[in-house]
Amino acid sequence: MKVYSIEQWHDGLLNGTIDVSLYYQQLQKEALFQQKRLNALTTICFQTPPQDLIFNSLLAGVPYVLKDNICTYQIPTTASSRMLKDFIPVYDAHVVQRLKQENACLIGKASMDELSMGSTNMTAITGPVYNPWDTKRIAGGSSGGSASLVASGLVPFALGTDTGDSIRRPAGFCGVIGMKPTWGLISRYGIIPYAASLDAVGVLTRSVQDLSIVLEKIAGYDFHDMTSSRLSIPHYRQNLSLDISNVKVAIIQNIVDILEDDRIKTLFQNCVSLLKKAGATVHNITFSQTYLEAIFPVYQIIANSEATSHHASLDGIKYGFQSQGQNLEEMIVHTRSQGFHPNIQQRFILGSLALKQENQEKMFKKAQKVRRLIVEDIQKILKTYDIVMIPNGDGIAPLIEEAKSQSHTLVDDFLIIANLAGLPSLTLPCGFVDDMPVAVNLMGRCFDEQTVLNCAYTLESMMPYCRQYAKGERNDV
Amino acid sequence: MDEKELLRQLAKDIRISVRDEDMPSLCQVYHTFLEHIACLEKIETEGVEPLVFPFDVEIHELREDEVDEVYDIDDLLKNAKNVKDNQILVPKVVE
Amino acid sequence: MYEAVIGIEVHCELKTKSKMFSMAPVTFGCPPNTQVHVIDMAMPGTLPAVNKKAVEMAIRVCHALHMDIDDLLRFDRKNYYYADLPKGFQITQYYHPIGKNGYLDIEVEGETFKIPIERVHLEEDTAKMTHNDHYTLIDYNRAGIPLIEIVTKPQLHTSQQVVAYLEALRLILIYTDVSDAVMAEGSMRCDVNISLRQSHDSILGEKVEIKNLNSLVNIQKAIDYEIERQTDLLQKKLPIARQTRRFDEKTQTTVVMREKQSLLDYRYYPEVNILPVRLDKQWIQVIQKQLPQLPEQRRQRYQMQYHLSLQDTMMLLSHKDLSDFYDQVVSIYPHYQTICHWLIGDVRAYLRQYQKKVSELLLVQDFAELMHMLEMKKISSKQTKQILEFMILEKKSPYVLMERYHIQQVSDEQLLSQYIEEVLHDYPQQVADYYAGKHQICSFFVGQVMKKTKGQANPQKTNELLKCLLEKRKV
Repeated sequence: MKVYSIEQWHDGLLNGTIDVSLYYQQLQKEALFQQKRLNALTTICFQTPPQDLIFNSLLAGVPYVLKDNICTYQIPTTASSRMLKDFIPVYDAHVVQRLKQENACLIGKASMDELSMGSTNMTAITGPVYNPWDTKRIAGGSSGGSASLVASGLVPFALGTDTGDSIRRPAGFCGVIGMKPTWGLISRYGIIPYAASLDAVGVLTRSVQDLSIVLEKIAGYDFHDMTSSRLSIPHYRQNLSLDISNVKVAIIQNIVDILEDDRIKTLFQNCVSLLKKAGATVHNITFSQTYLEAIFPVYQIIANSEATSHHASLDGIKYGFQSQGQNLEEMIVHTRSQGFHPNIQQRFILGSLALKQENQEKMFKKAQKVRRLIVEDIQKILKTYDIVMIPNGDGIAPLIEEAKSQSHTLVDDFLIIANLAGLPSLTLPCGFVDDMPVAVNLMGRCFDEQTVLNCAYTLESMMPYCRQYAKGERNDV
Repeated sequence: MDEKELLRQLAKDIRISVRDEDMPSLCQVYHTFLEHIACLEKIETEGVEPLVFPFDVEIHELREDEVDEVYDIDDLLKNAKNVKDNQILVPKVVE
Repeated sequence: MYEAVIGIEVHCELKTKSKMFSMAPVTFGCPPNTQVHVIDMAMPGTLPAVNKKAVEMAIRVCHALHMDIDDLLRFDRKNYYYADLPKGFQITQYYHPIGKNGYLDIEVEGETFKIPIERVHLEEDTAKMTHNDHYTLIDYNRAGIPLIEIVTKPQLHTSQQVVAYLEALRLILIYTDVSDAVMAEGSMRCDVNISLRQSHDSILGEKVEIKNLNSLVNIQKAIDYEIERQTDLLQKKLPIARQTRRFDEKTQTTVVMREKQSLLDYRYYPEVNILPVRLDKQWIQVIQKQLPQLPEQRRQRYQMQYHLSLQDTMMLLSHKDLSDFYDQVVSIYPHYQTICHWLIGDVRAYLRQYQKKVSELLLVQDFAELMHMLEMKKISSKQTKQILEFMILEKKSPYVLMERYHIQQVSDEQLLSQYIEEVLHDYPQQVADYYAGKHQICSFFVGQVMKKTKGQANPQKTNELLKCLLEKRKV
């Protein structure tokens, strides 16, 4: 099966070189093969291969997958949790409506960490998702299924969600591009949340161009989401530019300094050189060590507190898993104790601790106050600089057995700043270490997605990782 | 209050009962949580307003008071496990 | 002696078209789960969108209660688990209510009290549960209907004050056109907090909350009972438990619903799915300018300017549509007393009979003309009744109806005298009674003349002529 970019696909449709129904037959087989290899899908939906396509949209007929916390009418949406294993939404998320208008073609729902609470994609009820570059390794999470499937070449794009680094981490591990846009750029209506003040819907693709196309189609105001922005959406793709001579880039030196793997450091420095070569101004700066260490605690406290309240609706009454009980109270307790994985329960319990009236001042509100300090700090940097560039983590995708015991590093934590401050943040593959992808991350000012895209576009053009994929060995063709 | 008792009570508040075998790991994450709190305590936040949203922003528009088509009752109830007379049936509520 | 210290919380359903956070319709009495949006059932991924009309209505009430209005609209989550609460939290305004520091003047036995109102805030209603012996049924039609909660400071002291406050507040909710405010139907609900203290001692006893009060009568009874119960406990030096109680109609007492050893922790925190909304100050002012005249202002006008009795005034005020109609009619012909008398009498009876609003039964102009003819003695009150009935049935002007049914007053003296002579001739015994000094028998003769003229004789003229003729006969 041939792998296309969105533009190649569109051109192929227009000039008749692509036979859509034949392609979808092959795609279905390929999906089954990749499912066996990667375990990245929770639902495969090929009921209606696209027919009588109108080619007015670049996305017409383009196959895609959605992270399984994005509600789809009459298609199961499980958030990879036992709690919602049999949940079938009766409405489409806003982004799904938008993609339907473009005639894009949903072929499956992608696995994720349970309720987005994880960074390994090992906690899905359907089991771990494997990395297409090496199936002994994890894809990362929580949008692991989305990243893995794009990286396998099955679909040119997938949607994911990002609360801490949930798009960018798996994108980095799987060697694809992943972007978490500005908080409020894309409607969250129909997204099963993790933590509303941190959550963002985002896109995963194999090229900056494809990402710009999709982003443009799903961004913009939605009256169903009062936090969605009314700003008009630029033509990201049309505005893509390789001229970044006016762009000022800040490198967080104390993050780069703590990288343990020199090979990753070298790949990062290469990106710095490329930016300079393209004419950008690049400065090294340092970020407050105290705040750096506070990022993860702030994130955990806020995310868990918001999550425990968001998921109070999961009580077995209206939808989802239901257990038994002598009375309602007992039924709810049994449902919640059996429906959520114990790790999820723990997060809720801690969230409930931080929200307790007597604790709020020193826990939840304290975290919100430190959040402001951290955000003010990064905003100050972004007053001078258009872009902040950091390594997308300190290591390649871990092996399955390593992943369980792995803890986060300060390099990983820096990605969370984009969620705390609502910034656009894009992860771009920048090389390989031990045959596994490594990535770099670019953050920009709120609602200035274009500059982030342009920098990524420029870097991409100077590196050989654009449109890369790892489809695996198939013995049936 | 004993730590385990505290955690059990917190769990109970959010309708969760903690199994004994899960208690050690819960205590462990609780200790990590306390370390997090301690980490934040070191940062001076006198006079700092909590940041609720990623950035301070105010909006000006509200939804007009208009009625949309209602959802089909069968659709609304199809995910519920027990339905009787078009209502969701649950075990008896005790005060 | 002990003094009761009472605070009142009123929940009032707003009559918007759509719900507080969803576009499902606000209706009553529909089949279960037919008025529900996925948002109202807290389907995963749904988000709230604040209803502008609900905010406007809350502002109206705030203006009427002289509140300070917060022009930055913010919402919070009240987290608790209950089967009637689909999200597992209620969206409310805990930290920043839309209105603060208002008051409402009430009158009890001629004395005026200023009841301080602490806050007015917006929130959403819960689902309706029906309990059976073995199971509970949940209907989400009510879930998400906009509510305002109006909370007084604990500065009421008697059940009479509470009833007067609730009556006055109810009228405000009706006159600001935000709610039907019918307690029996639950569109206005009341919780009472009550504690006792030694009169000159500022230390308050434990607070008892009385919930599920569905009529003013029951509220008065519940408070009186509760004061008595707590007084009794205090006199016996027994502790008062912090409790939630309800009024039991069977025993006419308050009974325990639940003990409140520890207060429930609602873990309030700002709602993250609703950004703060900066309300346009001009919009807030326009809402104030367009506020209909409130019951208190009308009351003063009716009593001071129109000289209506207190009883008639209150009767008019308690039916807003009648009061509105009255104001329009008296602006055409200022027969204040007559018009009031007919509206709260005959017209109100028709309203009850047809279960309609006065504007649906009568046109202002037609009714004004009818009243004017009566006042000018062109028709008798009996004829007025007759025409009124035709007006309601046929929706025609009184002139058209009078012509159609040949209704007119006979004022011709010769003709009337002829009728009177006939009557006096027919009833010699009654005439004798009159001469014997039984002058009240006159009305009997007038009645007979009316009968002969099918009610069309001018009663006043008839009376005058009758007296004249009787005196003539005597001589």
